[in-house]
Formats: sequence, structure tokens, C-alpha cells
Amino acid sequence: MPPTSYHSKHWTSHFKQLMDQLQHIDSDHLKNSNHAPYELIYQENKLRLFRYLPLDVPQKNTPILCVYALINRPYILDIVPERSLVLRLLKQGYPVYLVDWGYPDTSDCMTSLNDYINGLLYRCVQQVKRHGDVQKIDLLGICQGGVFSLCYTALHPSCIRKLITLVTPVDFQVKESTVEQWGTSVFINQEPSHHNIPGLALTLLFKTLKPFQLNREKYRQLDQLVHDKKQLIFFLEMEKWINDSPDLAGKAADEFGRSFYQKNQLHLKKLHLGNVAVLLENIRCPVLNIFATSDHIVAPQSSAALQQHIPPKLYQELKLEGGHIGAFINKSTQHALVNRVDSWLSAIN
Amino acid sequence: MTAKTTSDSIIEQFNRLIESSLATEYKDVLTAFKEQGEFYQQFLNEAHKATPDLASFWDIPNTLGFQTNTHDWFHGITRSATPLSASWAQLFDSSSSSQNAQESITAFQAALSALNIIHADIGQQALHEFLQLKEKSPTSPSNEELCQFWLKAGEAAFKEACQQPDYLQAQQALYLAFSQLKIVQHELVSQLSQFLGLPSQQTIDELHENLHQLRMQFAEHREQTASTIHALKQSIDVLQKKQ
Repeated sequence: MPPTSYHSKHWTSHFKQLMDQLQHIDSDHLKNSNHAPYELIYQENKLRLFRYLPLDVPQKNTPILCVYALINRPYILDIVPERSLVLRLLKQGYPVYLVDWGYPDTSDCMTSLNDYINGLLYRCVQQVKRHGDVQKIDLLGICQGGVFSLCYTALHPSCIRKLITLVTPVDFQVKESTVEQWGTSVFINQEPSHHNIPGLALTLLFKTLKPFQLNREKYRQLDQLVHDKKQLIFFLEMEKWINDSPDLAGKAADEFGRSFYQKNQLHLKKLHLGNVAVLLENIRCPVLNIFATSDHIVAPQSSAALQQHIPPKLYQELKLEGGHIGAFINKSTQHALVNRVDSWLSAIN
Repeated sequence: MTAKTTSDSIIEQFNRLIESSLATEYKDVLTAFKEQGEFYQQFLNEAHKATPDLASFWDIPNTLGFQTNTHDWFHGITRSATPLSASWAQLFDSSSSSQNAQESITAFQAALSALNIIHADIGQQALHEFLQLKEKSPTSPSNEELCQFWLKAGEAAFKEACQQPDYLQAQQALYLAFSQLKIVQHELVSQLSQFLGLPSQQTIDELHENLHQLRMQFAEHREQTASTIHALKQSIDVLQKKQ
């Protein structure tokens, strides 16, 4: 039957090309050559704070501190040069800093949300302020890192000049969102636990959200990869990133699940960290809220709920066509994102 | 002597690479492409039959990489709760843990069965959707279109089912049963620790808590010191500029 043999013949040929190509791609070389150079400026237990080395362009004054989620690894912001958000910001002259939360082990199971936000993140902000010799910095929080950045800015408004939230959930009980419904149901009737959540379980959970797309379909389009080396390298780097999920510190994960997903405390103004109320109304700096219209992990409505907490004169939002990660690594959306971020950060508010 | 087919030489090359020093992450990628290539080949072979049997191609656990036929992983769990010798049997039978373990495994199995029933329904719903898409196609669908229909039908059926109360309840029951299993596992480990004269879980938890507090206190102290030194340096700079 022609259609079947057609599939087989081409697939076999492409699979052979893939094997041939993989033998000639040095994974160690990729690790060293494919990312913007950086220096370590602070270290605390597993946490590392990096400063990306500036490019030879006129430099802006205010540093940007990028805060990624505890889930997965922050190098997605600099995954390959042609899709690197970090590199684009460096090209605009921004001093870029990045928090790397590291890989928690069992000795970190008691780390709480308060420790992450009022401890680790607080100290990172202070380090960046001193390193950049400034009184205030800009925060760029991504996904859960955006939630941490919102909480931080609400609790320490004097340290932050401007805040950017990227694909960040605010209302955790949006009905259309599978993640939010699952997140809510997981913690019902469960005893609080401080055991770490295995990264492997999280990877599986995210792959379950679109089971056929993420587990089969993406391995079907072999011909697109073997004919474009850059595309193949990007695919390989993404595969590594998707499967590189640190364990989550048990106490913080449990608190996040209950306070945010189950009780929606941030949005309902009932969240407390270290016995202090976290009220988004306390944010006094300009906020740029960026979210993706086809995000299957953080529903756009969940992100857009931030508008209800920030005065209109301080709030702007940008909707990008794309998914949760595609919003900031796809070339076209990244271009729109960086242009808007640059003009917004440069504007005198 | 028969010449090797292209397919044979591909498999040989694949096996050589898997056994070679190629980076593990690349081996995983190759394996994934090989497995999914075989999957789509089987799917297309079946789809071209006069009376295709396609529902199993939307099997969720299999799609996620679980070998549902062998249930190896489940046997692993049950084996881990099985006493290994007479002295171990005496140890565990003397407590309620063994009974708790059996109950937790039963609850886990029941929750899994409930979820599997829903997964089977998703397969049927996806098949229904797939056949509709195929019928609506103005011409005989190409292989590419069949694969697109398969994907669209599967994701639509899953999205519809996974937010329904019965799915959420089944998932919740599974998590609850799993956490009960973990509690039993900790009880067993605790008894084992006592039996072997090792530190108890409570002692380890206290150590974790104390270590964590020490780390935080040390980091706060270091931050205060760095902040003070920075402020002093700035004051010195100001004074030097005045001179």
C-alpha cells in the first residue's frame, strides 16, 4: 500500500540522518559555547546568583533580576543564542542578573515559601543592589518566579523600581485551567507533608497536560530536524531542559499548593508570609504584566487577574500569541516582548 | 547469502549507538524517536485497514511511557511491602504496618482501576472523534492528515475528560492512596531503623529542621555583615571625596 511504505521509507532515511548527526554533535561543546557568559556573584546553600557579562554596548543603569520558577531550570532564558531572552536584554544594554535556585535535596525539605521570598530572594535583591550600586532594581519574574516577585514587591516595595511579570498566575482558580483544577484537587484531604516532591513526578505531570502532543507528536516531525542543524540543536536543548526538573523542597511545595492553588490566597488577599499580610495593593511601582494567549499551564485569565490589584496608572499588560514557554523563546514573540519591555523600562514613570 | 535490508542496518546502527559512549541525553532522544516512529508506523498500518481497531492508539498510560501490560512498576511497589525472611516477618507482623500496607495497596489499586476506566473511555471518545474527522475529509486522508486527526481527536477527548468531576475525583483518590502508601512506607522504614539501631525518622526530621535554621541564620548574618561593610565603604568614599 503506497501511503504506508511512503511513511516507512522516509522515516527510515530521516532516522538514519538523525543518528549520523547526533554522533557529530558534542554535548559538552554545546554546554560551553551555546550560552551567554556569566559570573557568580553570590552563593547560598544550593542557590547561585549570576551576573551575565555585559556586551560592548552603552549600558543602562538599573539592573534586571530574573526570577524563574522552582520548577525546571532557569537556563530556558538563555536556551540557544538565537532564542535567548537574556542575550536580547544584554544587547539592549541591560545589566542582567539571574537567580538559580539549584537542586534541593532532602536537607532542604523544610525550606518554606517565607524562606524563599523573604530570605533567599531578599538577599539576592540586596546583592544585586550592592553589585549594581543602585537603591532600586527591576524584577523580571517568570511563572512561579513571577508569583514570588509579586509577593516580594508587595512586601518590600522600596527595593523595586519596576516589575515585569511573565506568564505568571494570580487567580489560581480559573475554571478553564487544567493545571489549576488539578492543583486544587491534589491537596484536598491530604495531610501536610514536608517530603520533597520528585522532579520526575513534575515532569510527568506536565507531560500529562497534553499527553499525545508532548509524548508522541513532537517525536514525529523528524524531517524538520534533520534538515536544519540549528533546529536540531534547539530541539536537543529543549529535551534536556524539559527533563531537567529539580525536586521541590517539601514544605514550600506544600505551602504553595495549599495557599495558592487550593485557597487562592494571593488573589483573595488572605496570604501571609512570616506573619505579614501579602497584599498586591501594596505594590507601588509600575507593573508590566505579560502573558500568552495559548498558555496551557497558566491560563491567560489567571495572569490578567493582576489588573484587579494594581492601580490603572501603574499597570500595563502585553498579550503574546503563543504558549507558556513559546511566549518568550519563539523568535517573533520574543522580539515583540523585548521591544515592549525596553520601551516600558526606558519610559520615565 | 542475503543482503541486509536497510531496516536491519538501521537497527544495527541504533543498537551500536545505544551501547556506545554517546551522551545519555542523545540516547534518550534517539530511543524516543525510534519508539514513536514504530508507534506511528503501527497506527498508519492499522488505519489503512478496511476495519481498523484503533482505540488502543489513544491509551494514556502507554502514551506516558507506562508498560500497562506488565504492571512491573506496581509489582515493584507491592514487593517492597513484602517481608523477606522469618525475622523480618516477625518484625512487621508484630505491628499494624503490614495490615496498613495491604490496605493502602488495595486502595491504590482501586484508585488506579477507576482512572483506567476513564482512560479507556477517553480512547473510545478519541476514536469517535477521529472517525468523524476522517469522514469529513473531502478526499481520502493522507498519512500526514491521519496523524493530525489522531492528535486532534486524542487531545480533544483528553481535555474534555480531564476536567470532569469523575476524573478529578479518581485523580484525587489516586494521590490520596499514594500518600497513604508513602506514610506506610515511612512507618516500615521507622520500624526497620529501630530494628537496626539507626536514627529514627523523627531524629532525622529534627536534624533537617535544625540544619535549615542554621543555614538561614548564617545567611542572614552574612547579609547583615555585607550590608554593614557596604555602608561603611560608601561613608569612607564620601569622606575621601570631601577631603
